[in-house]
Amino acid sequence: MAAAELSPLLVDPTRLSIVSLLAATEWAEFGLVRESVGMSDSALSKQVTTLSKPGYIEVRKGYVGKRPRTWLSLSDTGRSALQAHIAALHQIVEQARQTGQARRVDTDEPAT
Amino acid sequence: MASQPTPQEAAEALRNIDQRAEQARGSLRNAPRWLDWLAGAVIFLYCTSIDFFPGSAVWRSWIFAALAVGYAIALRTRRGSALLGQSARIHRQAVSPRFVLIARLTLAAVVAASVVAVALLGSAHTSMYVPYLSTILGAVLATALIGFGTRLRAGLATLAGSGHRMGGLPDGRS
Repeated sequence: MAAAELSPLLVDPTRLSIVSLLAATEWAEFGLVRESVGMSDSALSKQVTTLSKPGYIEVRKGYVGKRPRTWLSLSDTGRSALQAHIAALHQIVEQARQTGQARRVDTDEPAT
Repeated sequence: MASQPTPQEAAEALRNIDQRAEQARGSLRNAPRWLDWLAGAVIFLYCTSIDFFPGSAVWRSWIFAALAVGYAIALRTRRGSALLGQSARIHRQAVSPRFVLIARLTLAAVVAASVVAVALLGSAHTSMYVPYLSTILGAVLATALIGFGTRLRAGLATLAGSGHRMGGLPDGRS
């Protein structure tokens, strides 16, 4: 299990969506990610640039026939950051559950 | 969302992670229809050639093996996948271990059943002779592949993710 640590970049739901989608793939075409996340080309490019800077996402460009293609993939750094982020999210949910249970127990105890 | 998510936001984020993994697996469904037709034609021609060119067993097997290996290799490369209409390659972490086990067991069962069938048919060849059996089998397989290819892929994509959550909220609730 990865150490629980929230990644400030992945707190943003859009970036989390992109990284989660790429986590389930070895690579994905830019077009697939754009359609899945429901963004415009320019908005996705901007987010990809943001995620590429710390090395979360790797970008490869090439041609298939005469058509240019861009493939995105999650790097090992990105995968580790996502695992740590998921672990931290679990901690938050679990803590809230435990607090909720403790409160219920306190309320259920009869007054002396 | 603030820098420290609330429990509701955290639960929502975990659900989002699972949904995106499901979406990625769903890309398996997007293979083009021409690929089903091509695969159906190749299987039909292979089976038909068994009946009509019985002396071509060696080169027929080599051609079929080369096509199968070429297809498998192409799917592992970005350009090959793009040519075959696949815009993503699913990561093994996104596939349910139960699905991998079932797929391996099914493959082993098919191989075992084929060996038994060949042995049985070989020993009782004269009494169980069916004319153009390979052609009939090829036609059935090709029709099934062309007719149900899309549904088959959709079923496989669903099975591949069944009970497997990358986000890991077991019941999907916070």
